[in-house]
Amino acid sequence: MFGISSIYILDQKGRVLITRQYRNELPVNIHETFNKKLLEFDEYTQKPVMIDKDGYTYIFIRHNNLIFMTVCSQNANCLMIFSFLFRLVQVLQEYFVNVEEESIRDNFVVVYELLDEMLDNGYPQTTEFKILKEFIKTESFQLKDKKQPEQTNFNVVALVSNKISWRKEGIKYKKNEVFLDVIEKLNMLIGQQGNVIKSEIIGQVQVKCMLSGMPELKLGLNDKAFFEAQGRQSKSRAVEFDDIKFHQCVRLSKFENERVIQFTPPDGDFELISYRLDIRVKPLFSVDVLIERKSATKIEFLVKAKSNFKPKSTANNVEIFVPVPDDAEQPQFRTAHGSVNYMPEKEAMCWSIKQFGGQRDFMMNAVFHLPTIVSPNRDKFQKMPINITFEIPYFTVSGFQVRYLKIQDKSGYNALPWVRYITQNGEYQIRMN
Amino acid sequence: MAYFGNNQQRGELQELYADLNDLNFEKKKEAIKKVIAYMTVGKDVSQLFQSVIKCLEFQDIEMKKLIYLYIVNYSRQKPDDAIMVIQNFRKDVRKSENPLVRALAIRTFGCLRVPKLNEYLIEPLKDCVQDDDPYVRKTAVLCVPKVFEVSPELCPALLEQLQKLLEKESNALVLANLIQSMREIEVVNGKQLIVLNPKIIQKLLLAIDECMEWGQIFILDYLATYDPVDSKQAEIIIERTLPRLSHINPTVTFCAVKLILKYLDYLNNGDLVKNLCKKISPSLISLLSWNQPEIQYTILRNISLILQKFPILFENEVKVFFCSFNEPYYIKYEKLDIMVRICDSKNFHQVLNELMIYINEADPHFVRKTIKSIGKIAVMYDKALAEAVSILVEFAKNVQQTNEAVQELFIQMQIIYRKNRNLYKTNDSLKILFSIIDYANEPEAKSACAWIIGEFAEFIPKSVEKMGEYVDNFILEDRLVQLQILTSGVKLYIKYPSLCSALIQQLINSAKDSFNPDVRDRTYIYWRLLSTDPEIVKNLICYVAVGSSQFQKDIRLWETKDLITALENMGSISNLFHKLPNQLYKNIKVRNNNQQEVKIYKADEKQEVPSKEQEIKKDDQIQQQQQQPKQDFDLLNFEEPVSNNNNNNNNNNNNNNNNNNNNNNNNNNKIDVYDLI
Repeated sequence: MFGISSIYILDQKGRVLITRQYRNELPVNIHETFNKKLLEFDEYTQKPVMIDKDGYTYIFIRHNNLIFMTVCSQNANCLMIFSFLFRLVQVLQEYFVNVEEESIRDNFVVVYELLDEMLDNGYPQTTEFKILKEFIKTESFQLKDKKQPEQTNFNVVALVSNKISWRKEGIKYKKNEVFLDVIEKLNMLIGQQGNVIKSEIIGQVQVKCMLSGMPELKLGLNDKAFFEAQGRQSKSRAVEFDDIKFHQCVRLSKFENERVIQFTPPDGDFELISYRLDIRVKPLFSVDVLIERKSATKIEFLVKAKSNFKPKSTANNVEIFVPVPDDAEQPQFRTAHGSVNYMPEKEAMCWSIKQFGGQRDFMMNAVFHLPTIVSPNRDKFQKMPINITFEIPYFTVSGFQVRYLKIQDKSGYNALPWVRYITQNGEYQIRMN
Repeated sequence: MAYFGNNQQRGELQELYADLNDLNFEKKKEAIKKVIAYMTVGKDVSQLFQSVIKCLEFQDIEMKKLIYLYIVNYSRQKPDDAIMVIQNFRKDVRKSENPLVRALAIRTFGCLRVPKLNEYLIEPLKDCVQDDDPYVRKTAVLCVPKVFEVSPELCPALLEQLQKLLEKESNALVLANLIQSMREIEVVNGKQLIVLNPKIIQKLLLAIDECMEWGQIFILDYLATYDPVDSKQAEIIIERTLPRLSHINPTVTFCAVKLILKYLDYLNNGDLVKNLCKKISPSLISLLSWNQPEIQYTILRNISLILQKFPILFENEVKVFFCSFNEPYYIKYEKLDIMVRICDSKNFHQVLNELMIYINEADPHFVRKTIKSIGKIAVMYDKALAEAVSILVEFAKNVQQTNEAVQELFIQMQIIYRKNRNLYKTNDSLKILFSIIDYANEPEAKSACAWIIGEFAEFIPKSVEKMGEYVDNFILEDRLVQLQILTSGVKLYIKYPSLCSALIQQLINSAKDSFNPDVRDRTYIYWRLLSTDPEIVKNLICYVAVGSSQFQKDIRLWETKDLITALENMGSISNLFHKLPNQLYKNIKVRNNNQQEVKIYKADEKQEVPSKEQEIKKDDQIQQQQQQPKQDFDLLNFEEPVSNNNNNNNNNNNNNNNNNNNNNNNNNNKIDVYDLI
C-alpha cells in the first residue's frame, strides 16, 4: 500500500489551479495526459479511475466546476484516496463555504497549507477541520486581526497526538445547549403494481454542540439490540439497525460491548451517527397515473397521489415529477391542490403541493398537445420513473427515537439537550406502466 | 485577482525582487505570496531563489511554509542553490523551540529528493525520529521512506532506529505512521523490516482505538497481511477489530472487513465464523449504498472478488445490487455483472424479474448490457434457461427499429442456441428472431444470424433466400461475417444440395479471391472437401454437439493463488482493475503462497468445500482445455469472458487448420467473440 504521488485541483477545462507533489517525480505535464485520457470516454464508459500506458493511475472526483484529481504511480489504496478526496472537499467547504474555481484562486495560500498538513508523503494525516483551523490561521477572505500568539501552536501540536484530538480544552459558553437533528431519508423503489421492490432508510444524527469544558455525553436510543443486551423487554417500538456508524469521537469498543453510545463531542456542528435500516416500509406516497391518448395529437394524464402516513403528520413541499413525452407542448393543468409546472428540460411535469396531510388523496389532470411529426423518443417517458420529493417534520419512518442525552462535565453545569425529527425523500421512485 | 495579474513579467519580477529585499516585513510577506501565485500558474520565478531564501530568517510560520513550498518546487532545478538552504534547515530542525517549525523543516527536507543533499539530512532526521514531541516524530517517521527511495545507501542506521522505535513507541499516531513507512520500505527493499511480537501486536491493537481514522487504516491494512499464529490469536485480533465496523470512514470499515475476512481461515470455531459473517455482511451492504458513487464503485469492484470466496455474505441479498434509475453507468454495469455472478438456483427468478424491467428501459446501451447479462445467466444456469429465453423472446417481439440492443439480442441468442440446440422445439423464438433478422447490422450480430440460418435452415421457412441475400452482399461484409457465411453456406448446401448448388458456386466464386487469407483458406478447404467427398463435410460441419456440459459453468473465476493475492490487496488500485499487483507494477514482488485450495464460505452447506475450480477440473473435457496455453490475463479480465471454452464445443470435430485460424483471428477482437463454426 502506497500513498498519493500528487494531487491536482483542475478547473472545468482541465487547467491546473493548484497542484502539490508528494512523491517521486511525475512527468511535468501529467495533467494533460489526464485531460486527454478523459476525452477517450463518454458517459457510458467513464469511470472515476483511469490508468494510462505508463502505469500512472488517475483517481478523481468532481465538485461544482472543479476536478480533484490524484495521480498514483504505485499500488495505493484506492478507497482511501476517494475517502480522502471527499474529506478534502468537505474541509475546503468549511473554510470557504462555496468550493469553486473562484474561491480556490482567492485562497490559494490556505489551500497550499491545507494540502501540506493533510497529506504527508502522500498519506492522509490530520483531516479534522476543527484541528486544522487551529493550525492554519491564514484567512484571505474575512480580515480578522491576526494576533495569534505562538503559544497556541504548541497546544495544537499536542492536540494532534492527543487521545481526544477533536476538541480543545477551555471552551466556554454562557448557555450550554446541544441540538440533535435526526434526519431520515427514505430510498424507495415501487413497482408498476404498487409493490415495494426496494426500501431502505438512511438516517443521520446531526449535532450542534454548544457546551463548555470537556463534557462526557451519553446518548440513549430505542435500539433493540441495547434492550436485549440489558435483558429487558422493550416497552414501545424499538428499532433494529442493520448498520450503524459513528463519528470518531464515539467510543467504539464501548458500543461494541455494551451498546452504549458515549462520547466527548467536538465543538460545533458534526455528524454523530449514520445508520441504515433495511426494512419493508409501506410507501409513504403512492401515485397512480392514467394516460389516455385522445387523438394522435393529444395526450391526457390523470394523476392521483395518495399519502399513507398517519393523519396527524403533514408533509411539506411535496413535489411529484411525472415524465411526459419529450415533444409535448401547450400544457393545460387542472387541480384543486397545489400548482403544476411543465419542465421541458426534465421531460416532466412537476406538481407541487405545499402541504400534504396524512391519509389524503389529491387528483390532477393534465392535457398536452403533441406535434404531428412524432419525436423518435416519444414513448420513452413511459419507461422513466416518477420521482417524489417531500419533507415530513416531527416524524421518523423507522420509529427512531432519542430516549435521553446525559451530559456530564467536571464543572457540573446544567445543559439542555434538544431534539428534532424529520423524514425526507431519498431516491423515491415509482415505476410507471 | 490581484495575485494573478497579467502584466509584463519582466517588470514584475524586478518589482518582486525589490519587495523581497524590502525592510518592511509585511511587504516581504506579500511579495512571497505573489511569488507563490506565479509559481502556481506556471510562471518561472526561479530567478528569485536567493532573495526568497533570505526571508527564511523570520520566524513567521506562515511565511516559512510558503518559502518551503517554493524551495521544494525549485530545488530540482537548482540543486546547487538548494545547498545553501541546508544551513537554515538544520537550524530550524535543531534549534527551534516550536515543534511545528521542526516538523515543517523535516517534512520539507524530505521532499527535496536531491541525492547530494541527503547526506546532510541524515543526522537531523535521526534527531527528529527521537524528538520528544510526537508531532515531530510522526513527521520524521514518514520522512524516512522519502530519503530511502533516493539514497538507500545512507539509511541502514535509520532503519535500525525505526525498528527500535517500533518496540518502544507508545503514541498511537506515530505508531501508525511508523508501520506505514516501514511497510513502504519493505516493499521497495524486498526485505522484512517489521518484526511483530505479541507485545507489539497488543500495542498496535491499542493504537487502533486511539489514533485518527487514517492511522487506523494503516494499522488495519497492515494487520490484514499478518498471519496469526493460531486460532486464539486470530480471535483476539478480530475481537478488537469488530468495533471498527461502525466507523464513519468507509475505508476504516472496509479495512476492518478485509482483516476479519482474512482471519476467518484461521478460526476453528464454526459458529463464530458464522456469527462474524452475519456482522460483516450489513457493513458491506452499507458501503454499497454510500452516497458517493465513487466509493460504491470501488466497493463493487472488490465485492466480485469477495463473492468468490465468501458467497455466504450475500446470501439473500441480491436486491442490494439492483440498479436505480439515476445511477452513473459505471455503477449500473458493475451491478449487472455482480447480479450475474450472484445468480443461483434460489434467486435466479428474482434476478431475472429485475432484469426484465431493465430490458424495457429507454437507453439502448444499458439495455444491451442487460441482454448480455440475461444471456450469460441462460448459459450458466440451466434452470434459468426457459425464463431467460422467454424474456429475450418477449423483447424480440417488440423490436421495431434497429439499435445496439437488438444486435446484442442476436449475439446472445446464438450463444444460447449453441448450448441448447433443442431450444427451437420448445418455443417460437426462431420464427420471431428471423422476422427481425434484417435489423442485424453489426458484424458480430450478422454473423450470429448467419450461424442461426445455417444451423436451423430446416426450421426457417425462407432460409435459402435469406442466405442468398447474404451471399449477394458477401464482398461488402466484415471478415467475421464472411467466415460465417461461408460455413453456413456450406451447411445449407449439404442440407439442400439441389436447391443451393448455384448459391454455393456463387459463394465460392466471390470468396476464393478474397484479400483476406483466412477467408481464402477456408474457402479452399471447403471447396476441396466438397469436391472430394460431401459426406465427410456433412459429418464435420453439421455435427451436433453432444452434451452441452462443455460449456464451462463459471467462466469468470480467479485461480486459487491469484485469488489469495487479490484478496490481500483488497481496496487497492490493482484490484480495481481486476489485475494482480505485479501485473500492473513491475517493482512489486508478490508473496509466494503455496496454498492449493481456497476455503469457500457458503451458507447452508458444510464449511469446507473444495474450490470451484477444482470441481470443474473433474470434467475431462475441461481439463483438456486448461492444458492449452491460456494467459492469466484473460482469466482475470472479468469483462471479457474467455472465449476458448466455447470454441471446443463444435470445433472438436472440425478441421484443425480452420480451428487455429479462427483462434488467431478472434484474439484481435475486442468484444467477447464466440468462435463461429
